[in-house]
Amino acid sequence: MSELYFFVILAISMISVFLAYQLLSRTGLYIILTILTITSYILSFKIAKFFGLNINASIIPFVTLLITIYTIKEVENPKSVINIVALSTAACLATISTLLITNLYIPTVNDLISVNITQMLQDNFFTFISSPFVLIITIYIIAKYYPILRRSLHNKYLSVTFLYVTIGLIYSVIFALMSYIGKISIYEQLYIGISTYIIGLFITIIFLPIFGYLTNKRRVKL
Amino acid sequence: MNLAILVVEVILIYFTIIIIYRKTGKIGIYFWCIIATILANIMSLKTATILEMEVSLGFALYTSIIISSNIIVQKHGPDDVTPLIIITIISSIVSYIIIYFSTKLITPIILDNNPYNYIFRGNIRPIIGNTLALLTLTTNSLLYHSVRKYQNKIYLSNILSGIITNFIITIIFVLTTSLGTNTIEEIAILIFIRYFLTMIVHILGTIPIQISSKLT
Repeated sequence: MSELYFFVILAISMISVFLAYQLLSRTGLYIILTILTITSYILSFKIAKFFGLNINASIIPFVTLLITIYTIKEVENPKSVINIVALSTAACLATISTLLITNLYIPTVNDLISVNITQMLQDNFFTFISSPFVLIITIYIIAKYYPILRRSLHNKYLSVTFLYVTIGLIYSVIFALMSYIGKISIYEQLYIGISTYIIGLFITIIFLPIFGYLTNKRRVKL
Repeated sequence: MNLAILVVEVILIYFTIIIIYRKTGKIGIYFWCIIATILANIMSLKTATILEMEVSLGFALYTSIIISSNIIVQKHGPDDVTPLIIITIISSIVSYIIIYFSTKLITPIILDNNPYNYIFRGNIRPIIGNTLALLTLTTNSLLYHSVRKYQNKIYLSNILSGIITNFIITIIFVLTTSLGTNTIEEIAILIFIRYFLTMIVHILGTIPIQISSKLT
């Protein structure tokens, strides 16, 4: 059943990117970028079991986020790294501030949500701190080096796959090592990191035809 | 304590709006509204006591969306608010569906995700209330624009449009969250409390509109 929900989230993410670009062109991609940055951050607090592998649930919106960035870089000025990074940073900062402020409010006596918010932030303190950093740095690297790689390899599918194979591995492993310090053994951390990476690669491959369709289509820039 | 946090929150929000508008203009305000919508949804899941009154949080962030739409009407006209309504509603729905379904994923034994699942799977009524209330932005922009045409004073347009819009928003939100679980009297009190607090935040929102209107 967990696998079914995994594919539902994946399908919603895919459809969102597709429709956003079809209806709103570049602006739509930036809107999806904002939504996916926040959902990636929120979902990074969640660990899930998928086909026997323990993965971090943020990998679904995260890979969709990367596909959105590749599409932005394909359809507009390749030098526009600053917009992508600034928007992601603003979204992460706003989410951090909101979670902290929400946690600071003294709750009403019978509010159980509040207890759980505090518990979630305490349990996942390292995720709360490290996730936005790792996310923004990865977004920066992807946005900056995708056009360079694209020019060198002359193939967008190869560039996307190569970037995920390299940067995705570093992201997944570093994220897992930083997020679960003191909670589980280093082997289990590595296991989660590599499992997340493998599932991310699987999602990247699923996304390639949609990415190809979106970037092959000539669109009038708004 | 909670009142002090609310004051800090409001200052932070309005300061952010001014900075965003100064640096990026209208497009930045659109993106702020997307962020504010998603985060207001998350905040609204928690309740706190402010001025001895029990309210769902997130109303300050939510009011910032109305203030942002007023900045757009003030500088660019009411037509530019329509895309804002569409994108905020879509953002609210898409983000919450993703977060909600993530709570359905099975958690491995090695790590406990119960707090996460409890927060986001528990009560979706505030999110529905917030999303439905976004539709009133159209009414708000038309009201603001009408008052502005009659008398071009920012504080007057903001307060008069806010009186009506916030009342409708509060009714939608409180009815969505409390209908069936509270008595009519309790609902009436909740509407009054939330409306009172929202109006204070809304009136303070005149400051960022004034400042933004002077920026080129």
